[in-house]
Formats: sequence, structure tokens, C-alpha cells
Amino acid sequence: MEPSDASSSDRPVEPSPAAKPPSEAMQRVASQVGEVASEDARLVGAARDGDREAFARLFEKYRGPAYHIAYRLMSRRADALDVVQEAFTKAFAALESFRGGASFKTWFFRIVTNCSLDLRRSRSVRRAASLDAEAAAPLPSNRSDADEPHHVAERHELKARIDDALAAIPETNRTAFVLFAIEGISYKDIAEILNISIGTVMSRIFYARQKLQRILSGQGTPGDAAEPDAESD
Amino acid sequence: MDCTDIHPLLAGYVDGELTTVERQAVEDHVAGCADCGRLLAEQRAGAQVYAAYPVEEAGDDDWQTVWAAVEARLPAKAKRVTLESLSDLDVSEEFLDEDAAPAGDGVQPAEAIEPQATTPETAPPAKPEPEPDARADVPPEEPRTKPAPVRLPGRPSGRPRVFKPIRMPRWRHTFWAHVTGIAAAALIVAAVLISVKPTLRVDQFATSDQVDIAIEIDPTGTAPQPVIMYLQADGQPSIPMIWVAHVSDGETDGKEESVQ
Repeated sequence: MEPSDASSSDRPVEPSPAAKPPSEAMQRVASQVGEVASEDARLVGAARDGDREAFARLFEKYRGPAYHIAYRLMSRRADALDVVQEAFTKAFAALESFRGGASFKTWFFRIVTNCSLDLRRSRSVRRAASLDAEAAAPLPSNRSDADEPHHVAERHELKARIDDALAAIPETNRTAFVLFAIEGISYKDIAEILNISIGTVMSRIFYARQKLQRILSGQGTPGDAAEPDAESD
Repeated sequence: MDCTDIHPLLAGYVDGELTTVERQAVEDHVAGCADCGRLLAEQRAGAQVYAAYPVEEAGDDDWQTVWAAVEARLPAKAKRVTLESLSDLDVSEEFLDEDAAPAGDGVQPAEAIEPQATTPETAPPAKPEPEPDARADVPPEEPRTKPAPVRLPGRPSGRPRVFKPIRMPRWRHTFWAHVTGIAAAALIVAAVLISVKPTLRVDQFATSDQVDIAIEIDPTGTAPQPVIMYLQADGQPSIPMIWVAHVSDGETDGKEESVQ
């Protein structure tokens, strides 16, 4: 699991050695949170005044995380790019209505999440027809041996298995679980993005992860309805 | 805490999102509960598996395409050009009509806007600008002169064509244009129905410049004369050009005449 920005939470959390960066790194991240927020506020203000460069900087800053959210929710590169384009367009058009009650990051990631879920629902029928073509495309990787045929096949198989397992998880649980995989997104951020409590975030991630692991280990099937859809606030 | 209280905390424990008190509670409980210990192992395994989920990264070409689409739909205010930026356009002042000079908040057509320069660290994905030395064939010591105005053919007066900035926003592509058009068409239909309701039938109408309305005249001749009035977007009435086709029993005799 990638490290999360737990320092932004108002809960005095204690990092897990297995999942979190060292405390020194956490402190460094904590010191940068305020700078990031103020920079975002400045860019948003400039963008409201019509500064194209501010729009461009916001785009460059958040296109990567937005793409990762969309990709993990959509499972397809082309769909993820469509989501990012739509989310930026909507966010920039609605920038006048953004009053800074939440951070731009969580406000924008909420738009990305909603765009992803909307597109996923609208394209659920089309996805089945295009999966064959998608499976034929190679999955790039930074590893030097990534292009070995057996590694490509392994990645395809792993991705397909995880996608199938995720599809069996209720949408609310899956969304919270997927968001935490994005670097820099903490439980507190997820709570703001999905407008739920941190306790509900924790519960949703617990059930989603349990379901995923049981399906992948052969203890459960996608058709099982063992875990509840974690309650919302 | 019993097991049901501990379960959700197991995810937070694995992700390092618990408070010190919560973390200690989980450790104390798991130390004496084999079931919760097994669930904790499941949470760790699930986190590791999903961390290996392969993500197909987007390339520079993808980002250029996405940014181009986003940029094209930026709020109109972001496309504002000022008089200063207009002076940078490669157009002679001779081509600019004083009266047509854009106001500071005028909306400009996209094709009249010169892309603004961006610094390398902030530039969105875009085609690289040509290197300065691409003009190496021009001696640097010679002052640059503005190109002579292009005189278009077919203007015997010799006066240069004046390019006036178009102030009209692209109505056809806006939501409010559709709303206004539909509202205007609805007003026309309502006016027709109210004035000659007993004898007229509106078959269709459109929201474009051309509005097709089929009117069935009462053969008894007792109905009042139809009055067609077109309300413009600003609410001012206007008499449109009307083409009347003669139709009898669903067949047209091919004759058309224009009335106003």
C-alpha cells in the first residue's frame, strides 16, 4: 500500500511500520501541507481571475492523482483519461462556486470520483464488449524485465483477477478502498471526498479489503454477499 | 471492545490511521483473539495485493490531448485578451478599426486569441515553441519591420479589409442560447394558439432562425386573421419574413409567396 497523508488528519495517528513512511518523512510532509494548501488557494484565486497559467498549473499538479483515481475506478486507460478531462472541465467551470470550505484537492478528487462512477455506470454495458480488445494491449511497467512475455501475462492476469474481485464489492466500499491506494490520500481526505465519517471510511475499507482478499485466495466468489455495504453516516 | 468493534479498526491498524489508544486496543484484543488475528492477516494480505495492482500510465501525448480539450473549454474569462495583448498580434494597426477595438472584458473568438506564453515549469503539455535560432537567416542587427498589410483581392477601392473583433459570443454552443431559443419559439406558439386557437394548428416549430409553422385556415372564413410575431432574444418584437405555401387536402400546389 502506498503511503498516505495521514498527517493531515486531526486524529493523532500512529503510523504502522509496514504501511507508513518513517516519522521523519511524516513530519516533512506535515510541514508541506500548509504550503500546498496556500499554493492551491493562490492558484484557484488566479484562475478565477482568468489566469490561464494558473489553470495550467492546477492541471499539471493534479492530473496524475486524478488519473490514478480514475484508472483504479474504471480499470481502463482510455476511460480514465476521459474522466480526467471531464473532471478538469467541470472543476474549472465551477471554480467560481468553490469557496474554499474544503481544500481544492479533496473538492477536485470528489469531482473525479463522481465522474468516474457516472462514466462507469454509463459504460458498464460497453465494457463487456471491449474487454477482449483491452486485454490484448500490453501493460507498461517501469521494471526492466516488464516486457518479458510471461511478466506481461502475469500482470494481465493479476489485473483481471483484481478487477473481477473489485467488481463484486459494493460501490461505496470499493470507492473508499480504491481512494486510499492513491498516494497522498488519507482516511481524513476520503471522509471529505465521500462526505462520510472517518469511522465509516475505516469500515468500508475493512469490508472491501476482506472481500478482495477472500476472492483472490479462493475463499470466496464474486457472487458472495458475505460482507455488508458499510453504513454511511 | 468486542470483536465487532475491533473489525473496522483492523483496516486502520494496517494503514496506520489509528490513534495510539485505538492501536493499543487492537493489539491487546488480537493478542487474545485468534479470529481477529486471522482477519488482521487478511487485511495485511489484501493491502499488499492491491498495492501490486498494475496501472497503465498515461503518456505525454495523452496529456497534450487532454489539456487541449480542457483548455478549449476553459471559462470565457480565461480567454480574455487585452489591448496590450492585441498589439502583439501580427496585424498592422491599419487593420484595426478604432470603433471595433475590444473592451477589456469583451469576449473574443478563439481564433482571434494568441496563445499566451507559459514558463517552462508551468507550461501545460503543448507543442514546443520553435527555437529562437529558427530565425537565424535574419541578421540580428537589422530592426524587425512589421509585415506589410495584406490587401485582399476583389476590393477595387484599395481600402484594406478591416478585421473587426467579433463581440458576439458563440450562442449556438451555449446552454442559455438553447433556453432562449426554446422560450422564443414557445412564445410564438403560445401567441398563435391564443389569438387563433379555434382555427389554427401548429404542426412543428424549431429553435433555429427558420421556424416552420403549418397553419390550417378555417375554410368558413370566420376565424380572425392570423398574426405571427417573432420575439427576439431581448424581448423586442420583430416581423419575420414569411413564406406561405398553398396546401389543400395535404397536397401543395408548389406555389410559394413571401409576405411580411
